[in-house]
Amino acid sequence: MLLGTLIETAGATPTGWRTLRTDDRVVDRETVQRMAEGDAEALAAVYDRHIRSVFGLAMRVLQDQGDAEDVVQEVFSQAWTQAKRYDATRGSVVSWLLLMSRSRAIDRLRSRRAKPDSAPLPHDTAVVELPDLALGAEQCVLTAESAAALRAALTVLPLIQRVAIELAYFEGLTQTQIAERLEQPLGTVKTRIRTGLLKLREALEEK
Amino acid sequence: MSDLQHTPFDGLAALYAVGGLSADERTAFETHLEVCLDCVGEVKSLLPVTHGLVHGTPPLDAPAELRARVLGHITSTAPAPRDLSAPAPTLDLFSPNEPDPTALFVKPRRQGPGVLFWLAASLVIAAAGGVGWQMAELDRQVRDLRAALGASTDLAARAETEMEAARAVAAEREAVLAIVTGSGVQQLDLAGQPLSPRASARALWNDAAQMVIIATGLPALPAGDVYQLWFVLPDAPVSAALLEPDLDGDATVRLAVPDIVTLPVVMALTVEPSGGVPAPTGDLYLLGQPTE
Repeated sequence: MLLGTLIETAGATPTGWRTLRTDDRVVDRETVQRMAEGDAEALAAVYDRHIRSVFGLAMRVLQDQGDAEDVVQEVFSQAWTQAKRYDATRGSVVSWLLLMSRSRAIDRLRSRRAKPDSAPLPHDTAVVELPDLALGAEQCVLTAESAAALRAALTVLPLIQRVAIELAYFEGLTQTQIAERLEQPLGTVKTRIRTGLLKLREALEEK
Repeated sequence: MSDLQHTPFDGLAALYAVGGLSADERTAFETHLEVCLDCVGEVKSLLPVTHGLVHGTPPLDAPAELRARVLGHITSTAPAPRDLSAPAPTLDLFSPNEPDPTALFVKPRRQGPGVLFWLAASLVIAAAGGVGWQMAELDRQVRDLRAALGASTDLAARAETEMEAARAVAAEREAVLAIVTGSGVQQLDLAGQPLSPRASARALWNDAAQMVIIATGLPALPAGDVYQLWFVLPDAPVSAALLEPDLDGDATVRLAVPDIVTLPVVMALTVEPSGGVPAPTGDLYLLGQPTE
């Protein structure tokens, strides 16, 4: 709750989040189908519907407007060229765009850090083959209710667990780098991340 | 799979799912995944969680000019989706089969009628009606035009304000993270008192005397009261900060420790009149004492 409160109270009001309804998903799916047929207006429509989420995530990771704008460029370019390969049964359009945004932003962040030790993310594949070939479709579709439950669970996660998860997921640090950053034993970092993720999973399962 | 084979990879599924493994670690773990159904199961159960984290970031207004830049660039340089079967396209490749980039802007989105619409409408009206009616209508159009322009200006100003606020939040978040996760951080826990048994707080500070207070479980206060934090020095308490808990009773505040305070020192949280007071007068809600 603690750091989460800090991050979220001033960041955006709860109404700042856009929740996706079934109708939205249908519209999104149809729009991407039009994109796949080369309809540039469909691309503009997808941009208008999701730019705030994509830009918000890129800013969250990069903390730099210029870099975030470059990521937006890359994400929508990729969405345009890969629209034919988008599989609606594997996740929503906004998830597809956000995973691309996060992946491209982390790439940029790691490049900025110039630390070759960092591995490509498991999600990098998902950027192309959304979201992960190992997953069943039903597991990947995050509903608006699930997303809200996850956000709520994140805010009540113990500060140190949330920090460790965020350092990995939004700053692209490895477990070793997180341990160095937090001055914690590697085993402790590993346990905190796992415990935190399991709590978030419980929250998703309970909703 | 024996326990002995699994043990080196115990706990790595979560790190794999959240992207916290190095290149070598990830390669080794993926090899392990080929033979360990337990780890496959855990990764599969956690990936929806980590995928879901991307939905937890607040949306943010992008600069208005970015739209034309992004869409124009894509449609003028990127291959169209139907060209996917072509050999490895790059963003710089020009394709004569691309859709006309100008097609994007045939029906541009607007917040309201544009200037040209109003001017054209005024001309049509002027040609169609009598002079008096025409002048009155033109006046009305001008008023509407001004109102529309005013609304657009307000919209732009609001977007800029939101952007500034978001930047400030990001900067504050980074400042807090830098203290909390920085090197040489020390801490002092403050425990709830009889009036607030469920409340607690932790003060964390670094060598540069930058401190973060993270409090939770603070009872709601009546209007006119405020929580005030104190450094309790031998001579007299020194005010540290005012805390404004949210609806859940949580509060986080960052402050610079005054030069006269040598940490660690006893810290206390009391309830005082709104705006705070020079010396504590109210009930004690939290107390933290350094261990010897």
